[in-house]
Amino acid sequence: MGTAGGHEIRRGPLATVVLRYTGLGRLAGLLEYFAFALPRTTTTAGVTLLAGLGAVHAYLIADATADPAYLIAYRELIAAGASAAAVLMTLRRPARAGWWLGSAVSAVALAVHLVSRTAGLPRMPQLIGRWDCPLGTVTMGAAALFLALHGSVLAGVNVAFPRRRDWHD
Amino acid sequence: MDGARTGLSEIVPLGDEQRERVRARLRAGHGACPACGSEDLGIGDALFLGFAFLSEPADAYMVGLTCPNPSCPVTYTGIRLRASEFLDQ
Amino acid sequence: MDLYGFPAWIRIEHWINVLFVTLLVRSGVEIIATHPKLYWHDDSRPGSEWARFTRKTMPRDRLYDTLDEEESYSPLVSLPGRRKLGMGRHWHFFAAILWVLTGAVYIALLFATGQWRRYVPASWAIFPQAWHDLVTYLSFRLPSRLPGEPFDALQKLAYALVIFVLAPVAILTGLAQSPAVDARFPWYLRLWGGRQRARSVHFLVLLAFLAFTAVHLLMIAVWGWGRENSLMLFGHGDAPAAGLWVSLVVIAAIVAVNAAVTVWSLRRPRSVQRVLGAVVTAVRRALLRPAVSRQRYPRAAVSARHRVNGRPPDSETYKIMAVHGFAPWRLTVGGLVENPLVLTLEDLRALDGRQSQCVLHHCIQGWSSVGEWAGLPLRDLIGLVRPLPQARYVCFLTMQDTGRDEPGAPGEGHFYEIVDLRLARHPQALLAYELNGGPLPIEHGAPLRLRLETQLGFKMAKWIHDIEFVSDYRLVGHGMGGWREDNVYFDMEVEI
Ligand SMILES: [Zn+2]
Repeated sequence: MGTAGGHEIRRGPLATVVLRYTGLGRLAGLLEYFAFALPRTTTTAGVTLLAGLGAVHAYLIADATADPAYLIAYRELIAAGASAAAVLMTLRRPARAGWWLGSAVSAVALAVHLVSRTAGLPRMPQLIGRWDCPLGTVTMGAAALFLALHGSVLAGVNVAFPRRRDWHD
Repeated sequence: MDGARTGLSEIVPLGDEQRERVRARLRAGHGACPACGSEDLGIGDALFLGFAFLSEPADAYMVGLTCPNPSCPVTYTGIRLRASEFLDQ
Repeated sequence: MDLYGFPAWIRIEHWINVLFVTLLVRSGVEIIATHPKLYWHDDSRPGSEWARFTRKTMPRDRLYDTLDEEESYSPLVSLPGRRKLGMGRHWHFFAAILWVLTGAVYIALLFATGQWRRYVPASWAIFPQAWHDLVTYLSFRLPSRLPGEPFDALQKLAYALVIFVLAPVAILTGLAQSPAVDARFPWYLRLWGGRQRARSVHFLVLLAFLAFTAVHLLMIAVWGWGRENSLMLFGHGDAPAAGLWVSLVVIAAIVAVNAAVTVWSLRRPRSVQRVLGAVVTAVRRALLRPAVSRQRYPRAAVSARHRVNGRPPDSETYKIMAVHGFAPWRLTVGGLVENPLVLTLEDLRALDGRQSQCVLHHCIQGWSSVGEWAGLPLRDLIGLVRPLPQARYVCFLTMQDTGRDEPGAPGEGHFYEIVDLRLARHPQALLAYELNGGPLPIEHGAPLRLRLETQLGFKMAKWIHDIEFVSDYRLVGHGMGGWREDNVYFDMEVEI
């Protein structure tokens, strides 16, 4: 008969406590029912999301030249970071580092966008409350989806290039 | 099922030395035909049981035995052996 | 108000469609639970799946079969849940028939009334317009509707995609999984790239439907739940409060129907089998029963490892037969025949007319494999024993004792299956004693198994030792036409 082994993810004591008392454990149990063996599709999706994120920020560099210098530098950083992460993800050895860099860039872009629309950024008070900006929505969407995708890889739902599943069944 | 193992549910032909070991096992037990009591049963091939049959231990085999007595009502029988009892290794 | 409005038939069709789609989705999840793995290639090779929805892993050193791989899902997501493939199939096909009829009426009325224009774009200009609408949505604003029409451009395209692409692809990939369709029209299966590709696409269509539904509900909420439901319930948007409350009542009714049929299926499966089976069987007999297999796969297509369903007889007698190359085995052929026979394996092999066929095996669980089977055509055996005029069915009795050999399966007793004489005379109805050029392996039914290439795998009894010609299948077992029909409520005729 089949054994309900599932993915063998080793957890430390802290992780065990968090999983048990937050309800995340049940979510993790549910996630074990979903597993895909699409490493190239997963990586392509991740690269596409980062490309979108990078392209939006590169476009803003060219388009909004009157913005404060720190904001332009920040956009350059995000565009460069997203591009570097996308390239690393397609290379064999540094692929995993690429995913983490992509997540860092996405988290920063998401946080900065949310702060700019709520608390406001220095010398950019006019952005507060401006949710009606399509590029901003694309930024939030791409960053959130990338974080979710990386999360699915870490949770074992997806595998990313160059890893493969070694299912025998 | 695992590819390397698929053939294991099928027949394993036995060599002379292995047949001799089966014969020794038969002599040690009551190695006669259960139907007519004939000795000198013919020893055939072995069937690996451990893979395909739920109730069998992982190293179980059935070795085919044929009764030489033409008037025997049960010509075909078998003896269940562990791998270590008659196979090399 | 727009030119098209929401005539009564569109509103009625909409809510009927919602009901059938919920039944189809939940029963579809029940079906995939039985083999929760998706492949691109028709050999369904273990480990080659691109997606799996199970926590089970299989042993490496033991024969396991595809019954071990079945999952049991909750009734919340599957109809009826709890590993009831037979029930799930009845509901899936019953709902599919009604859904297709609803859809046909809908399409006919769309074109008869000119309402098709609400979905079919009139010019390429809709694409830049749809892009513009997308940018507007991304700005968290609502685009304006097309002049004189009920939808904006993006919405119009989305509905056109669902009605004219997704729904037909769902139907066509469903049909491509039918053994009778695939056997009669092998080119049709090739069109989809094989049964596993069709099955995978069928699943992707499900995901697309779920995504559409999520966005659809979100958009209704954004545009105004009450007003939109007022349109879809009363045909005008002037009663948003009533729209809100009545929509909740209708949704509650749809949930109640789902709950009721779930409880019915879990408590009275035999009654569901008889009632839904009657409807599905009538349609299947008219459309698929006439199909005759024309499969001739190239030898290169043979699967390196043909999957296995069912465990061999775990008896001393069987093992002794097997170790002697089945020399002690006898096939008894009797019942309502002029010339009853007892045959050895040697006798069978010596008969003229040995036939081989390279075919796709369709398992009811969803997997497939390609194998080249050889043996005696059943019609030759029928010719030898000469059935009496009152003989109408052929019963295949096997050496498998399900209570002993399949402890995980519900039900007990010796496995048997019954087919009618007409099916038994099909050109590719075969008593197979060889697979891929070698003797039939034990796990595939040695020494003798049935092959019926327009049917699903469970009808093809393995480890056969007795064939009886009978006048009525209802006298055998629980009277449903086979062990699986008796115990897990499958249909007796399984062209799909
Ligand atoms: Zn004897």
